[in-house]
Amino acid sequence: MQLELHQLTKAYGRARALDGVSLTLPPGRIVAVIGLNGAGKTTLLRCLAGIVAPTRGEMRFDGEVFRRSRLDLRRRLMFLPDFPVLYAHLSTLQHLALMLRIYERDTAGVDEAILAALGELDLLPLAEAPLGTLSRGQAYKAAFAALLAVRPELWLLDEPFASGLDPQGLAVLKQHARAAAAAGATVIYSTQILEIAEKFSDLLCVIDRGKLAATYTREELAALPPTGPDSLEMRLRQFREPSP
Amino acid sequence: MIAPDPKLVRRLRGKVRIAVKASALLRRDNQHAVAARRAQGQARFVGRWLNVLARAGVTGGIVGATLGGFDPAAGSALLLLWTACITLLNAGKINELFSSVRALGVFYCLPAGNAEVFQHQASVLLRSSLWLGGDWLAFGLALAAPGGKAAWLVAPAFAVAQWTVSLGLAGLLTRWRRVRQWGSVVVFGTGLVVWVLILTTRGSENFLQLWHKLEPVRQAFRQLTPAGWLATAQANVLAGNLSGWLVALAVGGGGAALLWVGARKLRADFSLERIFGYGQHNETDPLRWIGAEEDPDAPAEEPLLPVEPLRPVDLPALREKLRDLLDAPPGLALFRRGWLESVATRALPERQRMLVDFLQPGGLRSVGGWKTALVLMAIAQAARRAGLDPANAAMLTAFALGCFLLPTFGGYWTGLANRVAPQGSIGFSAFFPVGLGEVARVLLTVNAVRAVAALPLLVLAMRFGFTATPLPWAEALGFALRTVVIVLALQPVWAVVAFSKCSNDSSAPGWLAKLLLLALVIGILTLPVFGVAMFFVQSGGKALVCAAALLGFSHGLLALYGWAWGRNFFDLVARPSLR
Repeated sequence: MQLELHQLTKAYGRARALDGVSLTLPPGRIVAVIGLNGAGKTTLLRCLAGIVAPTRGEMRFDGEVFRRSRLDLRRRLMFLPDFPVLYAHLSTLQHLALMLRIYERDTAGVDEAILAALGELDLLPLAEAPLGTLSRGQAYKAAFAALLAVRPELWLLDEPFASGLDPQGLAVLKQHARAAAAAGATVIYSTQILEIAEKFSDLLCVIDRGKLAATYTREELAALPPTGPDSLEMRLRQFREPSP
Repeated sequence: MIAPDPKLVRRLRGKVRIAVKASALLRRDNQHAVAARRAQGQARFVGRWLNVLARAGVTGGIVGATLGGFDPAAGSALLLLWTACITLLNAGKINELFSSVRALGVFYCLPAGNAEVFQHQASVLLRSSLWLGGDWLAFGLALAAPGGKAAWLVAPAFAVAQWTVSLGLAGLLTRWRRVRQWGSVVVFGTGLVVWVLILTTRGSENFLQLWHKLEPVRQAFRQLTPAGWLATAQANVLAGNLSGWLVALAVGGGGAALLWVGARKLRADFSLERIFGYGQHNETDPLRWIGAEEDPDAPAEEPLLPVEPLRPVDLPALREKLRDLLDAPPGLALFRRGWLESVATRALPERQRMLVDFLQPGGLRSVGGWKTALVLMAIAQAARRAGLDPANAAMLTAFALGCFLLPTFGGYWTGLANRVAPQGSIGFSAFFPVGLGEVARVLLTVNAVRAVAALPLLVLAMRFGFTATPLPWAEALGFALRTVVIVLALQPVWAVVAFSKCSNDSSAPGWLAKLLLLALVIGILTLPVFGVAMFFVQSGGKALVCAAALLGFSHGLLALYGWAWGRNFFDLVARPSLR
């Protein structure tokens, strides 16, 4: 999905959670959004999901203006917060079936894809357990399995690497994100873990006080020295320093 | 109470402000906090004044009317209705405060034991429940106004008794699980009281007729509720009959005993371990499980949750189950429950049936309430024919309608709940591609089916339930139809409120959002005018016009809100609760 953000601004009173963010993302990219706490990462993801209304600016998905009322566009994206939204009394299977219906992806042959995803995520033995009895990581896996079943064109993941996923779950997430991007989907995730953002992204966006402070392509990241004043870590540290 | 040390907070606040002032960057970052604090302050201010205005509208109206020469018995009847509402509200509040994860979640990670948390929640309940004592005190003082010095002592004594009895009964009602859903009944009761007051002060002839016809209900309130006994005793004392004090002592004492026993039982049952579902935590040493050093020689503790060995996966069975789920027609849970649910399902297209699955995965319950209301009404009629006091039969009919038929309109839809998230709470539906319009259509259609099903019961109730002699069929049908129209007109408002509570629409920036809010407020205030007019105009044609205006207005409000929702006028993130 081609994504265009024009001067996206979200203000709360005089404070700006997002301040004129402009970005164009061609399909098939994995984008890491990094920034200090309160920089505006989650607000950006919520704007893209239609939960938060931008004060100014515009979002276009494949050239079409995105608004909350555009259910057809909303069916093409899925937002996964770090604590996913699940009905505690439903089982993983029931949750998956419900999600497929809401997203209108209840097509033939989806069963095998679901079972494969559950198998990869070690959820088969827990497929019929109520979601409320699962651990945080298992619940995230159940929500992620729904994402894999729905196969959205825009993945919006808020802190997926701090969501309680075990190493196997993280590996599956990365593998499927790469596969989805290769198939033309856009994957946008927020993180605080520099090492992951550095290695697992086609584009790294640094948000600072609501502004898109810097962007690094995969090639630019690869060219940065691992240590020293020009390293990514040192470049990001400047955002903490008080301005003169 | 579990609260921060105010001195420490003040000291830290001062130091933080000094540090922020010293840095330009921190000052800039602080703008967000200042804006949030200001918004919180505004919301708190508005919320507090709305509460005060609502109270003033009801109690102030009753007290003002009594001082202005309104029949004290009628004022007392209205206050009794109000007390019943508040008792139900407090019962729901007790359930919420002492057994819901939502209210207790904040204590999950605190080193606070059951005793401290219970005490904290109890103090929150006590503070919020004191209003009722204030209501009765104000009314009592109004009654005592013409009396001597002794009369002024009656008011506080009976106010304390009313408060005690109401809270004691609320505790007793919590044994009934459905009491959590009674917020709407309280709102309904409040609206009714204000509505009746408006009419009373205008001296409407039609209202006076209805008021006289409702005498059995008022009498039942006085005879059957402890608050009614106290009110009667208070009137007796003011009239010079000192035996009223004995009644006050007995009923107030009974209420106090009920409160005492209820509090002890609640305390004995209160367990954070049970609510959060974790293992035993030693109440005498709440820090034990947070930072205590491990003793290597200590015997291994039992795991917090029993670990069950994983069952081998039966893949073919799982595949079959998944296929069943995917093949099952949407709305199946709704369809299977009963004939009323089945009719509701047939009225919905496929996408909306699927939305019912999303909004209420466990299915809806309507037919149970309908049947129970019918049975209770039949019992009331049979008992009346067998010689039961008509007042008591009317009370039972009102109970059947209010407690079993009314709650089926609206009720609790899981998909309209919200979940706590950073910077507020977000509705479930916001995370999924679900539109306000389609959800509202589901709610309106399902409730329209319920309203049609409720009509025969309402006609029977109006004809036989409340009056000394049966009303003519046409008149009963007229009142029933008007009631159904009001219920249907309330549905769009209810849908707006359901979405509104998961949004920041009331604090969204921009003049368009403010204009929308103003239009909604004006619209909601205008609705009761058409409602009142529809009930009391004599001509059928005029009633029809009022009904059309009422329905058109309320659906217009929903359409306006839905338009603003779709145009991104506000966030789907509600500001965090201030308590």
